[in-house]
Amino acid sequence: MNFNKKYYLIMLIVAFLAYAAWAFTDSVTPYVGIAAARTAKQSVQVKGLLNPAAQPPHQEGGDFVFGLMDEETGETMTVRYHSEEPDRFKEAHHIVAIGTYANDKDAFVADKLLIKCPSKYEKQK
Amino acid sequence: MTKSTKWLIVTIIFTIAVIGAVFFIVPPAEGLGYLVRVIYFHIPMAWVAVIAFVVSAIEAIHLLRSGDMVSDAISARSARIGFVFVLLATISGAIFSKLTWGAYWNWDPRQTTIFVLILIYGAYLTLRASIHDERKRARASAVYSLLSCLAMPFLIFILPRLYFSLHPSPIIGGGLMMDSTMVIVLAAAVLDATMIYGWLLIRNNLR
Repeated sequence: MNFNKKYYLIMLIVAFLAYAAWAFTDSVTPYVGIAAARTAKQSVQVKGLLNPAAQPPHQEGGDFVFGLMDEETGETMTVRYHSEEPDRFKEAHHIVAIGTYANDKDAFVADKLLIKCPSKYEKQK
Repeated sequence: MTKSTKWLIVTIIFTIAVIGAVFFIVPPAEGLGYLVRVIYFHIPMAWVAVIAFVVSAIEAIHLLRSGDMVSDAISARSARIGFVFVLLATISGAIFSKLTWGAYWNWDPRQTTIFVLILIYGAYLTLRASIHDERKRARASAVYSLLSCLAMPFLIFILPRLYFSLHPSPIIGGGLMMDSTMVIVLAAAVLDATMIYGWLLIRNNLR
């Protein structure tokens, strides 16, 4: 293989890898912000922090209710989860709520909550 | 006694010591309790998978340059070992995520990228099985292994860090916030897994 051919081959490989990475990025994350969650037609996974300004998490008519805050935009919304408080909720750093936004209830109705715990590996006190 | 037998004996003793340390010395972690034990399995598995794929690529380069068929055998074996270890890392990760996040599988960026990595190396094994001519198989697999290894850093180190993920910040190369006993045992576990990999690679003397 002469130098020119080799050069083109490497260019082709790099271009292919760049294209593959670019094409792939769109499908790599399932998580959306609060603004996108409000307008979504189907079930979404919305990520956020516990809103410190909202009413503290509590049970309300069979639902577990808390305020979620978008980390990037500061936007907030109420989340109603059709169940009891999840096990590790108190340690949660980030929360991912899976469900749809219900305009009539003015809240995000979650079928499932996922919890991200802080990645500290310290001895238990 | 051959070199690989000696290595095996040392590795077995060390493995028993590491397992003992994980169960009896490691303190329960804040918020995680004894669930933290999973990471002494999960992290070393992921580590070995990366090493194995890199070794496979290095041997692939050697094969392409010299045509030495021993390199092909080592490259293939390393990729196979890496494939098993990446599966173990994924399975242990899924168990850990069920216990911490609340779901085995959520197509989290971490999970999506490792899944792609499994597909890539699964395809490598299929490629090897589909070519019968030894020399052709060696060259084709070497090129494939090399390209796969180039894609790996994006999948393991870059892409998952660009997005929000439920996965904890990586411990290796992600700013260490860890109790000192845990760090020592984790380092031992990583070394131990690497020794197991080393034995799997050198057993019955490929070179």
